[in-house]
Amino acid sequence: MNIDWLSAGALAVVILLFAVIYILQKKDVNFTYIVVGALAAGVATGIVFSGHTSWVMPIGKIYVSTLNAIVIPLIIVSILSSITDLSSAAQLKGIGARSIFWLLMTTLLAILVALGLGLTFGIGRNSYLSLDGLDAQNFESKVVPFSQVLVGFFPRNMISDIADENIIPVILFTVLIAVSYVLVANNNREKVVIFKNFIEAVKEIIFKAVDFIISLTPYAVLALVVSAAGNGASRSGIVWSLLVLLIVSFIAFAIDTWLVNAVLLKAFAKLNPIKFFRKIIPAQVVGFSTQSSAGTLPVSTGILTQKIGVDAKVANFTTPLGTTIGMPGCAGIWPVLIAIYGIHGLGINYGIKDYILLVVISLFVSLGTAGVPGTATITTASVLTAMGLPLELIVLSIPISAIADTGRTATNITGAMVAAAIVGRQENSLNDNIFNDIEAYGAGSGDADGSAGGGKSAGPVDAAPGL
Amino acid sequence: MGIIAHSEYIQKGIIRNRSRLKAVFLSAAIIALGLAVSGGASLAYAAPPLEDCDLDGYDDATGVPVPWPGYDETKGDTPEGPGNGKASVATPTAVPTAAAVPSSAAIPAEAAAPTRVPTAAAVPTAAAVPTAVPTAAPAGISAETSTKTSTAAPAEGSGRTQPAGSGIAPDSTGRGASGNTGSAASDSTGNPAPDSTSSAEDGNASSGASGDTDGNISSTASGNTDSAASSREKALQNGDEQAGENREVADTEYAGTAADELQAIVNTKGEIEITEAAGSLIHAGSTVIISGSGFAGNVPNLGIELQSEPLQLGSVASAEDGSFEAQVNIPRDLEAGTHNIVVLYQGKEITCREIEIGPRAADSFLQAITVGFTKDNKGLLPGLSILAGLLILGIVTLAVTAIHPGRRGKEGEKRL
Repeated sequence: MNIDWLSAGALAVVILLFAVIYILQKKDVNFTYIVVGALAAGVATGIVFSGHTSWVMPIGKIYVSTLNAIVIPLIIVSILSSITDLSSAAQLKGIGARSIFWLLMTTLLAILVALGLGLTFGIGRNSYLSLDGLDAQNFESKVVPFSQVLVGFFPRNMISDIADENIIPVILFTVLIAVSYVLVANNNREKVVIFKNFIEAVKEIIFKAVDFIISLTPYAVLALVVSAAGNGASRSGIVWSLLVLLIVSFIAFAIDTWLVNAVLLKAFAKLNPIKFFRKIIPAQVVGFSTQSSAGTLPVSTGILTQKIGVDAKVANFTTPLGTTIGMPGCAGIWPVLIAIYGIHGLGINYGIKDYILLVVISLFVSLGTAGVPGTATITTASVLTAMGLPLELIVLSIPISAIADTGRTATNITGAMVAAAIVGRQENSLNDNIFNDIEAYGAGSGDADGSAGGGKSAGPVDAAPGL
Repeated sequence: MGIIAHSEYIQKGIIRNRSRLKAVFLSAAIIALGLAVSGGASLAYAAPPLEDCDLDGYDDATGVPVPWPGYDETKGDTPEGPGNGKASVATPTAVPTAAAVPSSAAIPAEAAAPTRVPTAAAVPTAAAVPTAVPTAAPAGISAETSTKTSTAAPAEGSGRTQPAGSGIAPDSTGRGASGNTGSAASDSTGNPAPDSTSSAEDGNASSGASGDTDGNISSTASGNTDSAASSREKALQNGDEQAGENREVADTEYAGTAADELQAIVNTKGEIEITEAAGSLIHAGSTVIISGSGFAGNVPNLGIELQSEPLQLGSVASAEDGSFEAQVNIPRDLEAGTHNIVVLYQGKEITCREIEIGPRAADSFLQAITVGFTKDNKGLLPGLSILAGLLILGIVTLAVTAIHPGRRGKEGEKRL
């Protein structure tokens, strides 16, 4: 039996590097540094063992498969958890509806910005992507007529939709169940408290599973990059195109964070954008470094209530909701750019209808996200799957995704805080005196719960905050 | 002590030198022995050239069977064909198969089996009747027969010489055939047979005369020997001349069959599949794999060309089932657009397939970042339109909200 000793050697080196990664994780080294280090080590190993990396390839494929497997469970529990957190139908109509609307609006605008920039820069053009097992010359994405797509949005059989990875029907059906829960709970909470507890328990489990999968990212990056470099995928066309993708993504983050949000703040929250951005810098920095929207929540809600003047009720509802719905960076900009990159790189002919479908699908997918590091990878997988594009595109983007995650998280946090400020304004729950530094937080009405002073909503006081 | 030590040293040195000398001598002996053995083996292997002057099919000196009666290595004959400068024509190997030359194969069926130079079969006849006339008289027939025979015979040879399955060398056939066609045509026009006949007769006359002359001196003792030798010489000469005739006529025949084969190969329209070696889109500078099927089998030197501008990409040989696979490189400086991949044989197109070739991959950061700002990017205008639309929407929104400040504005004014 002939053994390819070089392939065995490549696998041995990769396993050794896995051990190094494990040790670094145990020592709590920054996640981004580990991923970037894995990227560099993977490139070097792939070049050294060029042409003999077939034994390493299955590791990356397993990761991509596992990622794909967690997408639908995560979407379902995220949506159920978010919407069922609304304690009443009134809240669903009031703060809930406004929050969901503005979170989706910020995401929609981010999607359009990404689409415009991606098409203008032609990201992926002349990169001639070579994906393992894919023949670009004969690739045909599963794009169907728009009318059929529209009909296909609506669920017919949940089991088959889940099995076929039809994301939109799954989302719509889940929203239906969640809204139904709220309506039933509005009349008789005790009847459905078991369901709520079950959802929360499943959510904890799924989030933990996601945490585990995402923690495997450095290992996956190493294995995937070794395979890619070993197969000659480190061709200059692909490398430069990925770099351009990274740059364009940061341009999109910047435009969305500071231009689009500035217009929204000025037009709908009636706040000075410059002052607002200066006040939320600490939250952006924390998000930038932790790459976790959920991890930045305490800082975000604190700044909203104490510096911006948003009522705690609104801040404690909209901002956490923003970690599961919306997320302009992770669910808006990034998946769209990856999709466009793949469309150009594979030479797929997309028309206007196809791009409209991309926008709609990205918006729907943003309904079910998780505020954990690497959630962009999952949302991207959802969008690619729904669009019929190869998941292997994620493989190419993982190395730069770790770098882009910093900008993505900052964009997510800013978007959520802007939505909260707008909802606060529309609910009359925003204290301009606090925003203008005329008065300090808590120095107004002196409420024990620290709610904002003047400008407080005259509407009904809800029993409990959103989260 | 010093002297003793010195002498011991010298003695040791002498002993050491003797040892060295022994080693050197032994090594030289071994080398010489090896050379001698190998040289002797090569000498032993290099047997004297084979000659079959008596046309009995065996070497005159050793009795070793020869490829054909009259085979003479001293004249440059090889098992593939006669010598005298015509070995390169390789007409015995030029013709692909008997099947490819059906008409000619039908006739020489009986003569195809025995020998490469079937005229040799006729030569013994010439030996029995030393004049070349009997063989020359039916020159039209026998020559034709022998030609067709030798046409068929080389088929066997081609199978043997190219066992890899590519079989034949039609190119050489074609070229050889065309070259020899011309010469054969002129020869046949010039009626070579009677010439060779007359020259044979002349030879016979001269040899006969010389034999008679010589016989005055040694006829008593070796008259019979001399006459036998002279008859052998005559027969040999006749054989050579007739072999030459047959080769020329055979060339003509080869030329005809080669043209048929060429047409047959060209008419066997195959199909080709073109894929990029790495699985990406085909573009300038990429490597593509061209897979063919349904072509004529065992055809070497199928040319692969890129057209819009004729550009030779490479050549490939088809397998027995008419399939092939070739990996070729698309030139880096090729203009993007629609081109054709053409498979041809000896300049004649067999099949053609249109392909779309993209521009060269972005090899630098500058190229990658500016790739969108070219006329080829159909998304440039829509992208700019989207961005412009967002900008306009933002400006309009600000303007509208500034004009109609809404509830907050009024409350704010009241507070102030």
